[in-house]
Amino acid sequence: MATLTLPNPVTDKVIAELEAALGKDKVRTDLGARIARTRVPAPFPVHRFAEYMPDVVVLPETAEEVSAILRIANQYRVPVVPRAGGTGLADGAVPLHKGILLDIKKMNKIIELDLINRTVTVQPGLNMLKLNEFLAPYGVFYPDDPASYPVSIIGGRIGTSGWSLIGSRYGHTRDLVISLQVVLPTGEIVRLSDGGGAPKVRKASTGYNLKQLFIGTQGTLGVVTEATLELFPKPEAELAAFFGYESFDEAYRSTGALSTSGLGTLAAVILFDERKVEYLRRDDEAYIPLPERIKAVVATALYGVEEEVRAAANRLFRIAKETGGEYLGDELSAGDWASRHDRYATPLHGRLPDGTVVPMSWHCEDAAIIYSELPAIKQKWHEITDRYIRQYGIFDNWGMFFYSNNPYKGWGDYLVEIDIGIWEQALNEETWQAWVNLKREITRATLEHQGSISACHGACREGDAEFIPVEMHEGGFELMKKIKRLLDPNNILNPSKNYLHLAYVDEEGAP
Amino acid sequence: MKQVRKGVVLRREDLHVFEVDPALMSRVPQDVTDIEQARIVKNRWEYLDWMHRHFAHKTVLLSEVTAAPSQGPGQAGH
Amino acid sequence: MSDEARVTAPETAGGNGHRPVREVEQEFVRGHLLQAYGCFSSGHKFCREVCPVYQVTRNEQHTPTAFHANVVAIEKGAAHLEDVAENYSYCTLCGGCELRCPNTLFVGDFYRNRTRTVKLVQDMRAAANQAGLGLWPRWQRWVEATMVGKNEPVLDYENIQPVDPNRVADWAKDLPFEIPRGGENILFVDCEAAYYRTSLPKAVAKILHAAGVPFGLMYEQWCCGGPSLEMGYPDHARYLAEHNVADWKKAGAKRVFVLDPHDYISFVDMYPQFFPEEELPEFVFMIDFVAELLDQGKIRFVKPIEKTVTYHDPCRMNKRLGKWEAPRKILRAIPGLTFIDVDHVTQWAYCSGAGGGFAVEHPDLAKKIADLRIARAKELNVEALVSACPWSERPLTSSGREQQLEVLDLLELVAEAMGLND
Ligand SMILES: Cc1cc2nc3c(=O)[nH]c(=O)nc-3n(C[C@H](O)[C@H](O)[C@H](O)COP(=O)(O)OP(=O)(O)OC[C@H]3O[C@@H](n4cnc5c(N)ncnc54)[C@H](O)[C@@H]3O)c2cc1C
Ligand code: SF4
Ligand code: SF4
Repeated sequence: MATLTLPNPVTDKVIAELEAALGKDKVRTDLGARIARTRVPAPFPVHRFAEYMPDVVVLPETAEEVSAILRIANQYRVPVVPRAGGTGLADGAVPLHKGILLDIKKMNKIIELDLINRTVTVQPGLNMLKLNEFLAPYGVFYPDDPASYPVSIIGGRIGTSGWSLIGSRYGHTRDLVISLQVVLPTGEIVRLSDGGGAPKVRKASTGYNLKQLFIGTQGTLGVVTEATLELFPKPEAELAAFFGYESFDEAYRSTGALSTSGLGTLAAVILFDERKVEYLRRDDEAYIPLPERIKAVVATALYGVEEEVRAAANRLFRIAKETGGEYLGDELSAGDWASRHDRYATPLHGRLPDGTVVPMSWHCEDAAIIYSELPAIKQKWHEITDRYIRQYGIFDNWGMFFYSNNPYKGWGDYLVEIDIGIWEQALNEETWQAWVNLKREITRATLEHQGSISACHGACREGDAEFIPVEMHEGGFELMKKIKRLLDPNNILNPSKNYLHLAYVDEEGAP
Repeated sequence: MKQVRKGVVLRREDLHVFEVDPALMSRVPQDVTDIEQARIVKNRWEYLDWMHRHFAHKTVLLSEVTAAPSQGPGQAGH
Repeated sequence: MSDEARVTAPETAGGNGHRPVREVEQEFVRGHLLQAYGCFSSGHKFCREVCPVYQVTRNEQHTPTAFHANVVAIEKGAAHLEDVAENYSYCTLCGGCELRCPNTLFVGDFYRNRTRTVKLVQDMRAAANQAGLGLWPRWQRWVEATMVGKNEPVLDYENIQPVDPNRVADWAKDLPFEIPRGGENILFVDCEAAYYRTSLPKAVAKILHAAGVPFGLMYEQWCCGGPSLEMGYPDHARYLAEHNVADWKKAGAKRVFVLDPHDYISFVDMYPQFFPEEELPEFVFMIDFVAELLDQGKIRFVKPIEKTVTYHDPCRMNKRLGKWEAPRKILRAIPGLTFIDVDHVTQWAYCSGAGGGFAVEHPDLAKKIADLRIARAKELNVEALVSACPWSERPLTSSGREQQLEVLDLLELVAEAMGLND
């Protein structure tokens, strides 16, 4: 049995060197600084709070400072965990082995706006809503729109390879990043784009496409310190239309028809299952008055030039009607679409089995599943979740969403989300382990249906991470380990994420 | 207090605000006053308008461009 | 902390260093745990980019998320009160976060339960003071000086020296008319306005006079108490409040006109916690009242003001009380004025840095917040920024001077447009 060398602890010497490199005010060891960066919004084993507290927090402002931090970490072999918004739902920014927490939020400068070539170059600590407030007077728009749009940060979007609610029209994070500046674990600063190194060229065949390698790596291969991003004209018109159906099957078929319609302005097709609609009727003013005959919902949104949107709306309405959809009205459609960021992680959605309200934490499972498998996955995931609810009583089933998951088109695979409430205040080790087992069962079902564990958050958590080698069994994981070892010889950058501690043990150490 | 559906009530019909059935709130205090409640509802609508404007110059409604009815099922008289 | 007697807490206990820290900690955690989990279990940080302090520090520990998470960390034994209390000074109590929080904005009405970060921060400050942690010497001096001067020491930010309580109505001296003491309508003049921005109470007095609204002043006006509460001295706040309520009673006050949002929120938020509603007069916010008078035709704008301006929503009005319409209505009614509006939702993220004692304890950061606010106004190519809160006007005026932007007060502008300065 091979042994795994754990990273070294942060010593006073390390802190002294960090202070010498950055200045004292950018190096913080006080508990307030560390507690604030211990977790992300995903369910957290709160009974083990102190285990995840980093030893020291660093707040760099430049690529050079990031480079200095990584060199020090490399020299002393201490872990470094990059943290952007800290809104990731796969624990990417949670320090598993304590160490140095590298918070990039001070790196929020806008470096260059190029209206002629339609790019904006930014530091990675900037939030998208704030970027778009800056861009608005110029009539341009950066369309990366996750539900965490008002909170998550560009570095984290790149770190997770995020999914955007309007990605079927505008692309997702990986489609919107033109080039990157990255600091490698050993401290070198490199510029990477779509082949070649030209910072504003979107499509090139020179060399390897290394940019893509650094998107979605959860900070395990390098720290992004600058990004050049795609700009679109700010949409002239937005139209959201929500339709109700008398059965899930009908809504499912309508989803297929709508997403293969070929409408270029179609930004999103979202299917809500029966449990989701029932859940929304708990406390959402728009859904409470819906007649009981409506069992499932499909939401669509169009963006673009006004004439295009108007024309597409007619086609959309026809398809929805012909496939059994009933329009749910302007107020619900426009209002619910505009609330698309805010209605997820609301603790008081939580209900104990007897109906009592308690604050629950939000878990969002986010597999990528092909269209044909959606009904089967829905059945399995609910069955698993309900079984655990019956047994433990501190979980709650908040229903499922199926979102169009592909850039520039509605069809293909779907981001499949089951939302589960967890009463964190009541967690102990037994119920936490039950929770992890629930996740494992969900992941197995995903893999049985040729899905991918994660469409957007990443697979860093227990219950997901151990299945990465399973999902990537045809040589993919072996290659990943080689790349990780090559770039990060001392395993300092976000160690153990993506199950990559296996990159540093011999073959027989694998499960 | 009128029961709207399971777990949902209209405490005061003149306020037109759906509320959780207080019977479910044994573990969580309810201390938002009617004035505050009205303020929240108003701010929410303003905020939703803001979000529309933030993402597009114009919000087009389906009933404006198609034969779709502007009011959805269950919303008549609302 | 040794100096426990330095803040004299008249008649009531409390203040500095009266209780063992573990006892204070337990009580604090017990009182705030459910609220803390309400945030911790979301942890989504919709509040963050709205927060004026975070915007200038970009430090995640100065956020509502951290303020709530600390309570959970203490409960789980990962920290003690004294390890984290200092962070709670990084807040202007503007209220933007708790309104923006989806737990308020999207379901606060449905559950009639909402996020209360302002209260959490105030309570933590009070807890730290009660435990005698001695974290904030300038606040301590400020409250001490307020106890001596009965009004805030606004004339000397540097050394924090008490004002002379006998001069609280000096601003009224050179008005062309006499203002009586007492009566059914009382004008309450905020400390900053009474001692520093005296042009504001003068303008308000002229407006009321011109509109034919009879009004008087208090026999002896003391600070409303709000700042003491905000700096973590609730007993001192109450002491001041009790005096004012007694003075109103003596005056026979039925209505109190309030020209400052900070006072107004003390009266409508804090006073009802101390006194039964029936003991309190009606509080009328001057800007609402002016809008009303305008509607009723009781005041008229006769003098055009040829200026391009934008408006600063004072935090307590916009974010905490939902008052954003009346000032815009007034600005739109002033002839000659070109008003470039930034909507009140965008302004949830704006602040002057002056509130919640922040400028007293963290003057450098407060200046950065004011600088940012002025820079945002500058982008609109306006000639002036109009505010409606005297506390905001001092830092904004000083940043405005550096960036060449004039800062005006709304009520003073009203008096000007009414031709009352000629
Ligand atoms: C309410 C809510 C709704 C959400 N909705 C969506 C959604 O619709 N779509 C979606 O995709 N996600 C969603 N998420 C999840 C989350 O917002 C995204 O995963 C987001 O991309 C994380 O960004 P962050 O800035 O918070 O990053 P963090 O959580 O701080 O970090 C994410 C990962 O990136 C790494 N990282 C951070 N900065 C860098 C850097 N500079 N270089 C390299 N690696 C880095 C971190 O180590 C970590 O592994 C949602 C979350 C919440 C709370
Ligand atoms: S205060 Fe509200 S918005 Fe901020 S993290 Fe807590 S729950 Fe989320
Ligand atoms: S009240 Fe204002 S300053 Fe304080 S945490 Fe909230 S947003 Fe920040």
